[in-house]
Amino acid sequence: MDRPGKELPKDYRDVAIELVDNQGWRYSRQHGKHPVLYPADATKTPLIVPTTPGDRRGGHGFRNWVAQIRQRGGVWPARRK
Amino acid sequence: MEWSVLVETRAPEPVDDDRVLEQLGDLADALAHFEAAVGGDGRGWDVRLIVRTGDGLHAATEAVEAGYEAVLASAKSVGLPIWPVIRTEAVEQNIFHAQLEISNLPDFLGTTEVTELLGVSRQRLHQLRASGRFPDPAYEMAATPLWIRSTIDTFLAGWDRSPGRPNLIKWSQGLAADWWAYEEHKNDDASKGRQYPHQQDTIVHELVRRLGAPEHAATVIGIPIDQVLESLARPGLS
Repeated sequence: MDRPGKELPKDYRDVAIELVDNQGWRYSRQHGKHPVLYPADATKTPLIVPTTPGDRRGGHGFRNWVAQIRQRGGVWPARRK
Repeated sequence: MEWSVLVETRAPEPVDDDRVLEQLGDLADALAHFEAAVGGDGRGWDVRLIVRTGDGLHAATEAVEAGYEAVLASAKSVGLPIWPVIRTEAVEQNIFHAQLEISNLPDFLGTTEVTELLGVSRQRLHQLRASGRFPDPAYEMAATPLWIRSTIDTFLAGWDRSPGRPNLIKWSQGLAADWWAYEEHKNDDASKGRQYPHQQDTIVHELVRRLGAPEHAATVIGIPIDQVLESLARPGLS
């Protein structure tokens, strides 16, 4: 199983690792040039992961991406005591 | 104005085609200057991108239309199947950002947290539950029942407990009453009215600080969460 690594900008990597390690998502680098995140809920469609830091943390692109993750059942910001 | 626009499509019949994922990668590249996020597969695909418009009454509609046009043109250029649109959405950027700051996981409270928040013993909580006057938990785990925080906030807001105990919620209700007093009178006097939004924002900030989350402040005041988020986003407060 693939794991998010240095191919991702750090902001995106932090979220992807949380989803893969703690929320049951799956990560794949097998489809073309972009990695893909598969939601834990298989009824939801996968999400393309950007590999270039198109914006700073909290920028529009990152936020759009986080919104798509939340729409697919991912939790972010992750809250844990 | 800046908008985060969602365009979602669904295939009439799902297709089993790995090329869709590659085409979606190409679509993400094609829409990079719109800071787009792209997802989907043979069942459908969706894009969320940034669109800028004027400030008019129909700005949100214009944003959706402009977003859809951009997505459609790029999808055609990368050879992606053009499926029927099943959902569109435009959210103004400041509201969109504020919503994303709040975790989409509900705040859960166990027995210990609930007793601390109510200022009662475990035995008293047990009595309240047995009396039927306390809300049921969302989950009954082996170790503890779990309540959703907003459920407890609502209970506290209407709980007529015996006097004399210091109570966070009583204090919150006082501030909420002040908020509504400002709201009621802000149109009475044009000169004073200008002060009221600032005073109401201050109340919202204080409630959020003490209660820990915007949604709790919204519950206590009794206004939509969007209104609280707008207050928090308004400049002029530290």
